Amino acid sequence: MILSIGFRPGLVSLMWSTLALGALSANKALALDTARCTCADGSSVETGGISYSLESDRKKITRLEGTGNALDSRCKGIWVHSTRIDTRGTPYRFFLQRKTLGERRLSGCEDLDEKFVKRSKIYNFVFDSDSTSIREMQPADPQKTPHLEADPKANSNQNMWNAIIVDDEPLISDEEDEKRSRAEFRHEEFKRTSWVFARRDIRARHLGIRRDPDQSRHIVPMKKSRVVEAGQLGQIEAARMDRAIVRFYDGSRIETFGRAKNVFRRWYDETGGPYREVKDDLYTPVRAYIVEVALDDIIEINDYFDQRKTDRTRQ
Amino acid sequence: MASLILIGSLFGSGGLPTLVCVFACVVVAPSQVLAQSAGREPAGAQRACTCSDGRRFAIGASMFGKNSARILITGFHSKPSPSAGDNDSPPCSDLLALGQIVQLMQAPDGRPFLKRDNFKRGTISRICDTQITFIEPKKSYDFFADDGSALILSDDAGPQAAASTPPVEDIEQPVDLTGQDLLQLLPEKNAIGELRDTPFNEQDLKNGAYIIIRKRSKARVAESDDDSAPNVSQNRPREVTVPAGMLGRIEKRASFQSEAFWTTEILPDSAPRPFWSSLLLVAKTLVKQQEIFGKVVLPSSHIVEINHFFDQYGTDWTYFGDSTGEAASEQSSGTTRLPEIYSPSPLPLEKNVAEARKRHATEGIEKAAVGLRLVLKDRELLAKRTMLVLDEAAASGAETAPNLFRRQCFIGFDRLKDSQWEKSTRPHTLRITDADVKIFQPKDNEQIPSDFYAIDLQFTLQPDFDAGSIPLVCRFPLASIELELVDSAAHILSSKFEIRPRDRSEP
Repeated sequence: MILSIGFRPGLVSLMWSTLALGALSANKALALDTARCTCADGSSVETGGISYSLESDRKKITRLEGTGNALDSRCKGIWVHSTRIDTRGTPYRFFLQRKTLGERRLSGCEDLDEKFVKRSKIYNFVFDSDSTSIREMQPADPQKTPHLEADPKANSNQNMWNAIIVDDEPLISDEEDEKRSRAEFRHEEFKRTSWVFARRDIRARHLGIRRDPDQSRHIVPMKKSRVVEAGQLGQIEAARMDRAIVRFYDGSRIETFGRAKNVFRRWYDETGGPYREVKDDLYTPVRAYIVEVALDDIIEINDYFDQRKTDRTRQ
Repeated sequence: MASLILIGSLFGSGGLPTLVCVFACVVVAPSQVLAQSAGREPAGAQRACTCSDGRRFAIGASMFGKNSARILITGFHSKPSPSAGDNDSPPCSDLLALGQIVQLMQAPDGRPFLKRDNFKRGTISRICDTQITFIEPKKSYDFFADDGSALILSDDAGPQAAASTPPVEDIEQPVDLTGQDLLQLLPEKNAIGELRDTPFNEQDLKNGAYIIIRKRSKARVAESDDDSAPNVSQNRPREVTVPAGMLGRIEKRASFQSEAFWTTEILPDSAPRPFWSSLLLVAKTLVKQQEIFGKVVLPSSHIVEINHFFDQYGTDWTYFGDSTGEAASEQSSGTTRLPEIYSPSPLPLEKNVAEARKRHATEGIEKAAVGLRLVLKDRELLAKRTMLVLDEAAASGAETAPNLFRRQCFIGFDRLKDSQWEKSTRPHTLRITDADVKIFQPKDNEQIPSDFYAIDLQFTLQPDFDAGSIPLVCRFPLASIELELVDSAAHILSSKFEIRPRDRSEP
């Protein structure tokens, strides 16, 4: 928008400038719908951005109001749609139901207390782009190396305990820090407690925790395996880049994939036999088993609901 | 030796290995573990480094001090050695060590248990310049060979050191525990201070060491020090039956016959009663119970130093510790700790690079990769002349799109120059002539955290035909810079290439 006062003499010039000023002020006052807008801190928000919390509760940006032009639109209003996943039935046989919590308008990025991201992690690979050889990187501060602290020749088995130079890091790491990092690096939709189901019949392995000679613990696959039927519901126990540990619940298969044929069994499961509540942040250990599966073999439950245009795993 | 706990036993009834649930599938035999992928060393295997004087330091090796304190090797930094072969142990630089102490504790109901704590973790620098020696673990205990009533162990390596050779006399003064109540001997503040002056050696069974009885057997009641006057009254038996699982503390060495015998203070009520014994309690008034108390003389073959028990079962406390403090908290946490084991926090970039420099990982990667030959399985790939993307998770090397969170390899076939290669009928071989380790940090990508990075192994491939060099990058998001990345790269590439070792005739 160019103001041309003084450039063209007379009435035409004045009219042009008045129109231009009017348009500018209208642009500032009116927040227009946009697909993407920018926050004050420089980050951007897009429609379709998703934020997942525990147990597959989800918030989705459905609409954005921005000011300014299409290329540099400032966020003025953010419409967020929230849903929650509830379990219905007994621990022996249950189904999931998605409940809509409604849509609300946030007046700007300041009210966004979660990070909304797009799910796709696809990018354009270019050789030598955004990468640096570690040979070219500055070495760490040599002050931190413990080599200069004592004469190693004086160390023997007689004073071995003293020969250990304690690391800077505490033995017990900062749990909050760890939680933050783990949560950040995981796929958003596959957080611990997220509801998932097997997209096809999977042969999955049981797992064990092994403590190695260096006292570190690792999760290792066992020889014992079992088939997880397509449509079997489960919750994420832990996830990493390409695989996840899932607690699958027997007796809670999505109905469209199949149902228990044994009428008596179905009746028993519906009545919900006696079971003991345990302290657990996942649904229930009753008739559950824990196996490792590839992330490609499971689907987050909201994706199923979206695609099937339904809000229940059983009609 | 490594303990293994079946996941799934972590919820429901109890969870951590105890003497009772050992046979209830909580702890399973390591043979049940799926074999690691071929050619790869399982994590925590006996990796070791060596010094020029012949000393060898293996991860998992330990030395024992006072009161079952021990120092354990948890890792090492090594120096690159041009002369070392692929299977040789690398030369040692620094040792990563962990100091552990064992304490006698009391459960709320007064029953004793032993608890191990990680007390000091750090580095023993320039280990080859010191006079420190370690021994590698030789004993292997088969806790699963059950005779129905006891824990039966076997020594894979024959009689243990204490039995085969006269035990080395401890330099420390023996602690006379005669008449003292061991339950009152809770750790004092200066006990940790004493460790500073305590020699550490290979003898796990020594004065003051905590032990667990591994075999139900009859044991002679200990006599007095001078061997002249029996320390037992007339109405006490000269022999008592000591059940498996009882805890004790070695007071001193009693004698040495075919094996070493130890005068051991048994901690009363330190193990749960066997089932049949519990039933007999009903008839307690009718049948006089033979109480286990005081000191008995036990052979080395009937006892195990407590650290071996902890290692075997992957726990840090004995049975009655299950209901207390940290143990109870771990049990009640169920599977909530799985994420930190399964997907631990990635190393911050600066630390990752610093560690790699310390370990000379870049040099190691270069040495392992340069000279490898990649033989194309499918000649048609060259004809396409497009960049090939291979994914670790994709089935049978199916082509896929670049994904920030996946381990992938990118081969620049699009950079092939015109040549006569299409007319050639023999398989095309690409030789790695150069290798580098790079850090990839995407700019202006809001879909990932700001501290996201990936480790790039960048190779230059030289074809056996005249077509110029081809770049190859294998990208590992948030990975540690270590030699194993070369194996991972080879694994990803193996879907389209046959990986052959370097030609011996090459320099």
